[in-house]
Amino acid sequence: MHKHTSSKHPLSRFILHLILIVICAGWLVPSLGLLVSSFRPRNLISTTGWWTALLPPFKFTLSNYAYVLTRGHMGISFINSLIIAIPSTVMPILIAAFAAYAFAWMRFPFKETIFLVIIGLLVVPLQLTLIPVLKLFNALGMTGSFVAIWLAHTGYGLPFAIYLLRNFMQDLPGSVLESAYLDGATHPQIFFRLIIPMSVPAIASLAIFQFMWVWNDLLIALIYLGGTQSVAPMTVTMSNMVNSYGGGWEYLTAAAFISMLLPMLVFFTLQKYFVRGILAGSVKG
Amino acid sequence: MKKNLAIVVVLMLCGAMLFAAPAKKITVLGVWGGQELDVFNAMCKAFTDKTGIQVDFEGTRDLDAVITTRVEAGNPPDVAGLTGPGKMIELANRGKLADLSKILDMNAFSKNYAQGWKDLGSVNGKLYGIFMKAAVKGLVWYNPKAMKAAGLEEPKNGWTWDDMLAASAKIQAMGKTPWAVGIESGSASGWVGTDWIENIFLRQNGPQMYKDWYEGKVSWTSPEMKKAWQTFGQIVADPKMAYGGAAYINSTNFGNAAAPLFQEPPQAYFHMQASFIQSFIMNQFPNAKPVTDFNFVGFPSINTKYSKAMEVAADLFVAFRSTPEVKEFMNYIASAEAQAFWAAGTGGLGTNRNVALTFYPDALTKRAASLLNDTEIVVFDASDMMKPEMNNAFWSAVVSYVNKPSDLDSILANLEKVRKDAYKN
Amino acid sequence: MNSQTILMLAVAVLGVPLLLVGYITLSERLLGSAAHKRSSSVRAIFWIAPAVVLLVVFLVYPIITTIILSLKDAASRGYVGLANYKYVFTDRNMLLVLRNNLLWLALFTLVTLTFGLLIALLADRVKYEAVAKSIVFLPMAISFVAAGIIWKFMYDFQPAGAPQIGTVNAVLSAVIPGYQPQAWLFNTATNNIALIVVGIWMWTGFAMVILSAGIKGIPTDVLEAARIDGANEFQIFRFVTMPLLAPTITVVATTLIIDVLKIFDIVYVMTNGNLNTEVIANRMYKEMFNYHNYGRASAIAVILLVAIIPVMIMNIKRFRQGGANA
Repeated sequence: MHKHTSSKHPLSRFILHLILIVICAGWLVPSLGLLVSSFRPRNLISTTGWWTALLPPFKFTLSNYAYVLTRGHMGISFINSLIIAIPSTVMPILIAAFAAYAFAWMRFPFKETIFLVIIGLLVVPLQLTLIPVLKLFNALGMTGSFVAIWLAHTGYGLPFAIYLLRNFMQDLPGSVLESAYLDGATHPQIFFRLIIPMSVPAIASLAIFQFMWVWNDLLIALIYLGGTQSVAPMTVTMSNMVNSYGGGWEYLTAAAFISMLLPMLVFFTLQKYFVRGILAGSVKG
Repeated sequence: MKKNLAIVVVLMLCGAMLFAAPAKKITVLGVWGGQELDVFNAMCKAFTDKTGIQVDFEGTRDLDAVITTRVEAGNPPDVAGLTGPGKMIELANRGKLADLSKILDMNAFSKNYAQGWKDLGSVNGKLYGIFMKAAVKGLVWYNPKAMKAAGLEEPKNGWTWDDMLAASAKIQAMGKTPWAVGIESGSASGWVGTDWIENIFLRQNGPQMYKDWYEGKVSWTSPEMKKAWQTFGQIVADPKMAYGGAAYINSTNFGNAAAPLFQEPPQAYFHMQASFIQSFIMNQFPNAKPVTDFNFVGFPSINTKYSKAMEVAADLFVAFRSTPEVKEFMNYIASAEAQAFWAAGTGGLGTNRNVALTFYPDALTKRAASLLNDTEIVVFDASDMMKPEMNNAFWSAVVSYVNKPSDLDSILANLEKVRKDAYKN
Repeated sequence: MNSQTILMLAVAVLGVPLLLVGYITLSERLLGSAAHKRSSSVRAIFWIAPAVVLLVVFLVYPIITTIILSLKDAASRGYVGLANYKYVFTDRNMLLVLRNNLLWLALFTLVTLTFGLLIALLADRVKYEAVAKSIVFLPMAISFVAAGIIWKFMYDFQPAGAPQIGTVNAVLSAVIPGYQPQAWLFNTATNNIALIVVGIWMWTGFAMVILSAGIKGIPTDVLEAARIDGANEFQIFRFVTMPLLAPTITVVATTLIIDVLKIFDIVYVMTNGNLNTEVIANRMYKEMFNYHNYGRASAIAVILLVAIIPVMIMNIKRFRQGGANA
């Protein structure tokens, strides 16, 4: 992984580090507060600041985590979340990649109009679609099935995916694709052997976001899949730790961290695809 | 080759979608979570053991969104647990609910429930809702030990508003604030204030006008309404009366609002809240014992004619279908046996007369339960009975009023506008 | 978890990609013999068809029903023409809502984009890049409900003299002598800004990730060449980096603008629109699910759709500058 070698002047390096570290510290404070609070008992969280826990006497407790993890169906919920999230990430990326390539590198009538409409679809608030789509699912008898929610998440994720990928693909070196085409490659071959490998950073970003949005989704799962124990993802199970008066929110502090682990893992893992130099040297002549 | 694969895949997907569901089960949608959910599940398990019918519960804090969507789209749950009659009335008027008088054992029902609960659960004479898990509202909580230590007299049942003002003056003379109020509550912030205004309005104007009010027949700009708000203002608009002033009142979650009573030294001495605040107090102060460390009296009376009035709130069950399984479930819910689970598990009060007092976990809850059973004038929480847009506007109006009491006239005018708009049919 | 679900999962994860690949290959075979020029249009239709079908079902069809509903009354029984739209533009409460969205639009978009760009650029040059980016990205991985809890505690208010629980008030009390604690979320002067800060905290990671991908796409030889030619870092940024990043910035800016128009969860979880913090999406939610006034809810939604036309115009320009076609 190449690093952007800037000037090695010590003062500018120092300022660089200073700014970055200050920003990161500021960003970290709220998350840190949540993390520390998740290890504190409820009556302490609501009466003293979280930083007081870092000084003696240390009154930490694992009870919040214990409660969340032993709620019985946490294991099933985790699996359900995976079952929902993985196809809902794979499908839109693939379908969007096909469409994005067409928008970027093919010529066809109304291309610009259709693309603008797709961007426009980004603004559609999800709540608007719930009733019409649910009616459709009910008519087809698909409500409560995983297929329904995969299709729904795919549909909702497509506008952003197509937008992002098309913009990225459009800026790929045309000369490379041109020479491949002249060498007799078909479009599918160009797509799978050149476009996809060169678009890896964009695909990685997309995968991170789509996975995370689906993983943290609550409402769509509740409405299209239902909230019954057998199919409920983690978001539903965790929201049920809070009673109707709002009591039990302390468990959400622990639940938030448990739920966050997998998306952060996905993020870390996909970091290696954020490499520079994929395109460097790929232009012939 | 690829085409065959495609066909196989499509067939598999079809197969997956046609997955057959087991017979004999019902779906229930509700807002309960955490410990309430455990209690509900225990109650359902007893039901399943008895009848073999499985109960599939779906919980959400977003009840409105989920119910609206599913009802509109045509796949409502079999049964739903609502938080107030307002929603039940709306659904019944749209013809979405099952008429319970056709599926319940009405003889048993009439024997077990006071007429009041039956009326509240009915729309146009037909029964649609069964109440359970009730709470008494308008109780004034205090810390007996703290009051004794400060040389203050404990408030007595039957005390009047003037008694309360006098006691508050004494506390102010000590340099402390008498009242602790907190009205934050996420999307429902302000409901605590609505409880205040309702209790004041009830005791100033009586149950008939109270009923007219929640049916949308009383103008928000009327002198009686304004007087009720201004009486509320005696508590919240005066920074010497309520701990922390307006900023504290609006930003403190209702569950933590009683805390000033139990701090060392106490920062306030009175807290108005429903019977369910008990579990919050005991959670936050694990060493506090009922009766000795915290106790309650009824809301101070204002007009002696209406002094024996009490405001209650309760969750209720409604049914969207009348299948045999639903019928069995609703009959079970109405029984004292089912309600005992709620009583023992959450301290929620049973609406069925026959829930024995022994089920209640402590002396205070027992006292609340017997208050409920013995009271003469029982009215339901007015905001829960109003149309949703009126209810929401009421909550927001309280928040705005606490923030700036001098805006009262424009706040009331706005509420009146919403009322005209909401109740124009 | 039964074997049937595992089967379904396998079908979805493996079968669907195979299906799509097969579909494309098949379509290519069908087009094989046709003349070059005409087959390009037909081919494109095959390539965009799956996406278009899904988009129509899940997004376009609901829009059409929404537009129709916006012309009907609250219970969707009879037509009322433009009455709902009139309400949106004349009701005093609604105008306040529109004002709030404009505030979000201006503040949130600008700051999020700036911070995202700054962090992406700086992190690119340090060894601990992955850690820095993870810290800034973390808020995106937290659900809105949890974020609401965190920030309610950050902004917590206790009366002056009592120990402060909220981080903001505590820090300011420690640093400023004679500081009066503020109820940030409940003071109409500060609450909108307070909510926007939460939004910035959550969404900067989004901007950063995409901009970071864009930055990685800038070939180092171009930058080295500029450096050899004697340009300093600021000049390189202005004349080399920025122009090359322009397309990515457009994407991020467009997405942020559109997302801020429909911002909902943060406001819903923290204040639910009380004390003048309400935004359009909250209003739509209340009208639709709490008040069941489908006419008004739909009108509000349609206004949202219309509001993005300027954004689309911005993108037309960008579109036309795009790469050559094969």
